[in-house]
Amino acid sequence: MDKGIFKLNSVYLYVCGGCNLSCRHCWIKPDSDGNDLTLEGMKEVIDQTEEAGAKTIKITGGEPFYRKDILQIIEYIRKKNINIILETNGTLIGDYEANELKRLGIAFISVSLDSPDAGFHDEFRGLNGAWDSAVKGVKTLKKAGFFPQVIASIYRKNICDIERLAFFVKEIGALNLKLNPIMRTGRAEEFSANNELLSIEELIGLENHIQSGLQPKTKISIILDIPLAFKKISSIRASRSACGILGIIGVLSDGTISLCGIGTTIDELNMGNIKTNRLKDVWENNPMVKFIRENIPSKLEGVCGKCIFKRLCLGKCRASAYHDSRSLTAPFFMCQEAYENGLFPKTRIFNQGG
Amino acid sequence: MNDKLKPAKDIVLREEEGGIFLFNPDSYAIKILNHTGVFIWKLCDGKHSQEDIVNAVVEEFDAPSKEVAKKDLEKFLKTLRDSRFFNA
Repeated sequence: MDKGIFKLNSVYLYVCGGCNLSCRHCWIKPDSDGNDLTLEGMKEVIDQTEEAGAKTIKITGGEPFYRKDILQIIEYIRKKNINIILETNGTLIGDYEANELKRLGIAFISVSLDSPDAGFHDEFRGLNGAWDSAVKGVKTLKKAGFFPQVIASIYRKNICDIERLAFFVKEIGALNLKLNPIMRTGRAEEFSANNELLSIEELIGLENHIQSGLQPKTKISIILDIPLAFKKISSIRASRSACGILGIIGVLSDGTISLCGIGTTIDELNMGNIKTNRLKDVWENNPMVKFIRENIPSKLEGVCGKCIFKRLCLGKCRASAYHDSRSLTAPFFMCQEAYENGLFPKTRIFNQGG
Repeated sequence: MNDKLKPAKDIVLREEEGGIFLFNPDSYAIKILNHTGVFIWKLCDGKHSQEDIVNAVVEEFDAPSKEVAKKDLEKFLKTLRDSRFFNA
């Protein structure tokens, strides 16, 4: 491998533009206009993933099971001996699907569930019965032999229910509970306007509460997806709060090659299309990919440039930074806001001379 | 061979409520330390030999034997050397 070419670890494959839910916070611009690649098109993506050397495909959407041929796509991936991480809302998974996923050897599955209360979840996800179906999905996966992760999107209205949610997901057989603070991209921009997003101060408080009280009490692993700078040193390695942008590329449902799902809303982060470009060539030669590997983390700006974890964290989410400032090296907004408000841990800033 | 270990330039020891760690601004390596690790690190000041440190560890932590302490110290120092926490 030539010097300067980074290994492609993982392809984020957005198999489907459409979804059976209408989640209030979705950061992906839904596309149900029939632009999704056909099964043959998806096989081409998988062939090119193999050619580019990636060992993992993260399947996400839209909702992957909104596609009728999703199991055929998964089977094709597994025939290539590529590992699969699957993100789903869980509502379309029955016994047949769960058993097939098990047979095909899916490495990891996460299911979205935002509340222990059906009414809240259904309203948030835009479909009556979504909670019942998602819970059933988790239980069905458990029965098939999986230990699914539950992912909850959190904001001001459900933060008070996290303890009950943790107990609940443990009861239904989840491996752990991941809490994703809603970010101000895509449809979620209205949350910001309505002051519904959690402040960095609230998130730091929540992290402390999880580590010192909630996790020991509920006896389930709870992972709050905030930058490493705000994590206790003892939980840094387990926190999985870094994006890994130096080894990831996205392919959207229509074949567009992009940074990640952000390409559905910001066109300039797209780098071609699988129909006309080779994924391997884009990964090795695209100017934006080259810019990222030459400048992340060394040229990160603001507090991200001073953070001692910048080589681990890589600026948390570059898509979010670009969304906010149209710069791939801009600081991550949570960290910068914390820094400007005196909330960024001083022990996590590197000052020359100590 | 001079076995008096000295920290590389700019290495910082950060003490937080949740733990103590070393940080190397050159390699961005981080090493989390327990109390024994902190004790040892503070003796890696360019003045103490490895023999001095072994003796100090045995005395401070009631180690089962000097041989065990020496072996553990060598293993610990290797991890620090590998992450370039000491002068070459």
